[in-house]
Amino acid sequence: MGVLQLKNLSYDYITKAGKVHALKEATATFESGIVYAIVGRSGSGKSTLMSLMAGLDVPKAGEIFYRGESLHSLDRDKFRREHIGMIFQSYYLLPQLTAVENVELSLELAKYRGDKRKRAEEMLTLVGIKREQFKKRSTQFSGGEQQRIAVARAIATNPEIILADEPTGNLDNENSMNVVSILIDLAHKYGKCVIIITHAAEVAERADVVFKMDDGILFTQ
Amino acid sequence: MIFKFAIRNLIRLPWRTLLYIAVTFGIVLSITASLFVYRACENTISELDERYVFVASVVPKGRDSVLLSGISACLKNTDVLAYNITVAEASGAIPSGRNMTKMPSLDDREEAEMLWLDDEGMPFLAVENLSLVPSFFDGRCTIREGTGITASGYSGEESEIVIPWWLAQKYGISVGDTLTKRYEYGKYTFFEAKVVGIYEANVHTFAEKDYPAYIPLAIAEMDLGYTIVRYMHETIAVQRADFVLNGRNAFEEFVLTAKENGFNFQKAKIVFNNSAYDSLSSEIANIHMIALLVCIVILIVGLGILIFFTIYLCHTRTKERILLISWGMTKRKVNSMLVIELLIMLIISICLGVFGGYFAADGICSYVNESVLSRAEASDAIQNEEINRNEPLFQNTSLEISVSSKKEQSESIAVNYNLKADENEIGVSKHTYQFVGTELAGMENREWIPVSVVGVTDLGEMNVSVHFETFQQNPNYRDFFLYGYVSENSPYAPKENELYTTYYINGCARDAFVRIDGQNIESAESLSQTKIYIIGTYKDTEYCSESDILLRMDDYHRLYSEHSVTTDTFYFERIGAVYTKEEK
Repeated sequence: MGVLQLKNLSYDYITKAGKVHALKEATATFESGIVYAIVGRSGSGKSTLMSLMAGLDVPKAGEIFYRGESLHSLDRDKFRREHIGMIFQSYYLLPQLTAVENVELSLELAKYRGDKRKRAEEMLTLVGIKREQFKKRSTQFSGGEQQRIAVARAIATNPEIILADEPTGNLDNENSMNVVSILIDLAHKYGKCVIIITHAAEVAERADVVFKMDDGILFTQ
Repeated sequence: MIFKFAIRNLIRLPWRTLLYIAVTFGIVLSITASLFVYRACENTISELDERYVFVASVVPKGRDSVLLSGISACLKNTDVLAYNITVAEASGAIPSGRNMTKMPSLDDREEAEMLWLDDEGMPFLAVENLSLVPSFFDGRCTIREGTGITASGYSGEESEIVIPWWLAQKYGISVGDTLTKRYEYGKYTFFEAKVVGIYEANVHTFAEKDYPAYIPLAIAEMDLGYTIVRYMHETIAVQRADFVLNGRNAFEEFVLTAKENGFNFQKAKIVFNNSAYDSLSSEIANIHMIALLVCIVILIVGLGILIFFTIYLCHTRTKERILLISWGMTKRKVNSMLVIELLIMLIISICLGVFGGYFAADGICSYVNESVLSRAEASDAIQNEEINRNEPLFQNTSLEISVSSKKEQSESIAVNYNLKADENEIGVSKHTYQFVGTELAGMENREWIPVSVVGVTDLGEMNVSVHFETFQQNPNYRDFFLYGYVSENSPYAPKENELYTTYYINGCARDAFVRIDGQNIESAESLSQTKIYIIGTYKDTEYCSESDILLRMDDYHRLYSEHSVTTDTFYFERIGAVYTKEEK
C-alpha cells in the first residue's frame, strides 16, 4: 500500500465554453522514497490533480487514500498541515517575513513542539541558505534562493509527501537543477514521497517514475 | 496566534498600514469635524437668540394712525414678552407709561388665594419720581410708611410698589411684603413687586379705591405684554408700538399674520429691531448648512473610497491567503486575521479622526465664535440696559432742529439715552425723545424747537456761566418768572452783550403727554404764554445735553404745578418746546 493512492479520480468544472473534464478516472499509487514526475502540456489537468492530492479541493468522483484512509474521513486542513509540503512555481513566500520567519510560520501552523527557530534554521541550511541570510526579507533573495526557502518551508514540518507544482518554472537551468537535486535528495535520503508536476523534460528525466497527463487522463510512461 | 500574525503584518507592512490609516483618518476627521461644527452652529444659533432682544416696532407713516386692536390681533400672547406703546394724541388715550403697566396680584403672604389687584378697579400708575406727582408735590398725599419711588432707587432686579393706605388695610399688607403676579408663559414666571411704601391721602378728593398704586416706570416698561389683549377691542390709535418678542420666528409670524389680517402696510411699517441678528444668524446658518453638506458628501464619497480601498487591500492579499491555506491554516482563521488587521487600523484611525476632528471643529468654532458671536456682543447692551430695550429704532438717531422760522441754521442733535436722574433731579425722559423724534418727522416747517426742560436740585453745583444768585441781584429779576440755562453750545445762549434771551413754552408736544382719560387740559395758547429767561450757559454734563434747558427745581415744580392737570392720574412727563417771542 502506497503512501498516497488515487482511485478513479475525476474532476470537472463549468466554464463559459461548457463543462470541462479536467481529470478522468485517474488511478495511481505513490510510494515513499520515490521521486515522481507528472508531465503534460498546459491545461492537461496537472495542477487540478495536485490540488486534489493536497486536499485543497474535493474530487467529483473517485477517492484519495492516505495510507489507506480516505481523505473524506480526514480533516483536510490538518492533513495538509502535517503530511503535505507544497512548493509552487512562484515561490509563494510571505514578503513581509524574513526567510527564517517564513519557515517558522509553517512550523507554528503545524503546532511543531520543538524549537521552531532551530528547526527553521536547520531546514534553511539544508537547502543551502547561508546563516547570515536568514533574517533577510524573502523579497531580497534571488528566484533560486526563494524557491529553496520555499522547499525548506515545505519540508520543515517533516511531511511524508512533497507536492511541487512546476518548482523550476521560473528558474534558470543551474538553479533548476539545484532545486531538483534537493527534491531528489529528500526522497532518496529522507524517504519522502516527492511528486513533481512539470513540463520540463530534464526534470522529468531525473525522476524515478514519470506519469503523463493528457486531456485529463493519467497514465504511466 | 491570529492576533499576533495580524499585528506582525501591520508592523511589517508599514506603508500599507499607514496609507489605510491616513485615508480612514482623513474621512473620519472630516466627518467628525463637520458634525461638531454642525452641532456647534446649533448651539451658536441658540446662544445668538439668547443674546438678542427681538423687538418689532409698528410705526405709522406720516400722519396716519394705526389702531392698537389691529396690531394686537396679529400678535400671540405667548410671543409678546414686553411692549411699549406710545398712544397717539387722542381723546381717551392714556400715556405711554401707563399703557405698559399690569397690576401685580397680591400673594397675601403665601396664602393660597390669589387676589388680583386690577380686579379691584384701582388705578395703577408708573412714575419715575413719586415726589413729583402733583398730589404728593402739593401735599395732599404723604408717605405713611416706607419710602416713595425714585428712578435712581430702583435696582432693576425687583420691582417696587407704593400702595394706598386703604389697600394696605384691607389685606393687611405691610412694607416689605411682596405682591406677585403669575404669568403662564415664558421665562417670566413671576412678576414680583415689593411694597416699599404705603401712602395716605390727607384730603379725600376721590373715592378711596380710586387712589392708585405706583410702581417705577422702569418696571412698567418691563412688564409682560400679554395685557395687550385687553385692548383688542378698543379703538386706541397708536403713535408707535414696540413689542419685545419671543424670538425671531415670532417676528416673522407677526408680519405674516399682519399680512393675512389685512394690516395696512401703506399706513404703517413693521420694523425688526436688529438687522445685525439677521446677518449674523444668516452667516451661522450658512456654516451650519455647509457643515451638513460636507458631512453628507464625505460620508457618501468617503465611505465609497473606504470600501473600495478595503476591497483593494483584501484583493492584494489573495496570494497570501491562498498560501496560508495551502500551508494548512483554515480559511476561517485566515479571514479572521485579515479582519483583525482591518479592525485595528479602523480603530486607530477612528480614534485619531474623532480626536483630530474635535480639535479641527474647535478651531472652526472659535473662528465662528470670534467672527460672529463677538459681533453679537454689542447686542448684550440691549439685554442689559433697559434703555435700549425700548428704543430699538431711535438709537443714534439725530433730530433735525430748525432754528426760528427764518431757517437760518439747522443742526442735528444726537439723542442721548443715557440721561438718568438722581434723587430730586429730573432727567430727560426717553419717551420724550421717542415722542419728539416721531413727532418731528416730516414737520420741517414747524417753528418750535423741541427742547427738554430739565430741573436740577442745585444749579450752584452746575458749572454755569452766570450763577442764579448773581442774576437775582439784577434789577430786572422778577421772582415769578422762570429762569433757565442752556448748553454753552446751544444756539439759544445769550450773546455777549445780552443779559438774557427769552423763550416761551409751547404746549404742542406737551399736550400729547398730559392729555389723560378724556380730560381737557389747558390749551396750547395758554401754555405758550409762559416765558423762560435764559440767563446763562452750562457746560454739558452727563445729565444734560445741548437740547436741555436747566431750571432750578423750584421753578420746575412751579412750571408744572401751573400748567399741568392736577388729577391723581396725572402721568408726569417733562417736555417743552421753546420759541422766541419775536417770532411768535
